[in-house]
Amino acid sequence: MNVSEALREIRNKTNDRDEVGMDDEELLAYFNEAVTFISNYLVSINSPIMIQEIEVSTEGTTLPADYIKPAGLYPVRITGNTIQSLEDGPVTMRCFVGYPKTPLDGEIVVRNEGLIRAAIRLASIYVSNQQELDVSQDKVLLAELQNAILAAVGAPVPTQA
Amino acid sequence: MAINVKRLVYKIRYKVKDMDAARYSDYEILESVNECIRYLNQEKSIKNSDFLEKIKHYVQEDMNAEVREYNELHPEEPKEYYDFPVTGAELPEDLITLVDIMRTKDGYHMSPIPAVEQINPHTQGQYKITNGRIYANTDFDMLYRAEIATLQLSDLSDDTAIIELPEVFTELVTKVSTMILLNSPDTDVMLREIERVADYLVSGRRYNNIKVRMPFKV
Repeated sequence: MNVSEALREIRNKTNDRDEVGMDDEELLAYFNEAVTFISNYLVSINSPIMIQEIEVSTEGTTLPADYIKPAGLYPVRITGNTIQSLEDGPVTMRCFVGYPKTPLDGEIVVRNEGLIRAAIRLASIYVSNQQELDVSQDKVLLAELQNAILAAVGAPVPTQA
Repeated sequence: MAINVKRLVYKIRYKVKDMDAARYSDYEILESVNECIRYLNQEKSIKNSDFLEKIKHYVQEDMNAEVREYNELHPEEPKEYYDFPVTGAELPEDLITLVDIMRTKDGYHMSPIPAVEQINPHTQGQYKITNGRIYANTDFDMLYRAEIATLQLSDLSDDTAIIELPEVFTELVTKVSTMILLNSPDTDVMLREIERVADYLVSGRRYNNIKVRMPFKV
């Protein structure tokens, strides 16, 4: 799915098919916000689809732009935006990295159709909220949304570490 | 024969339900396995078993050939040549206890002398150990009980890396490492648990039926 399709879906859900309520940029901002929420949620349940591997050198490597947290403990030290290996050589580290922002003319970085649907639904809740419409029912939907995400990514229910 | 590190890591990951390495890093698992190995090294029943017996051959000529080769490659910091009766040779780093020292040429069981005495230059049946070095007048073989080596980070990417323990210990190492990984019970509880499982595994289980000589046998 590309960006314009996603924005059209959000317009459908918020009864703004004629593009009189919000412009594309504003809608995209809500969509990106929804994607950020979903990526943070996926990280909180330790979903492996958010994991990337990075090579950490002893001199120090710059952290990925959307770095969130390491997957487990590694012999590394983070100082500001730099990450450094504490071993004698480089260390391959697995870490959770959030989805980057989707630009207006680009492809959506989220690959999973189910997740894109969840993001669209969440973005339309944000839009309705901004328009001062009653979203209390939608809030209830949010819990359902999280279950939908769990079902979409097939992630195990997180257990206590 | 020995425990394969890669398969052990998978077993532990399976136990903690984290095959994706999303919750525990390989490094964490490695550290918990190493902790388990260190506990095992402290365990008396394992120290007294023959699983860990090793032989190291001390041949002065061969060891000096190695030093010569090293010195040619690193002329800036040369190593010293070996002279067994005078400067001795290092003990193995993984040594726990000495079992026997035998003369290489005929297998004669050599006898220790006090550290203050000099090696008698006219006999080849004596050795002494002082300051982490062993001195003798001849080439010899050392039979000793070794420590189980802990794992290095590089072992994780090496498919052939092993832990020098019989396969029957796999369950013990997996179970205890997982316990260490999941919660951190205090040291005493851990040692007691190791003692219990290891005693159960080790007692009466030997590699061979050779009668062990009593230390006072002449």
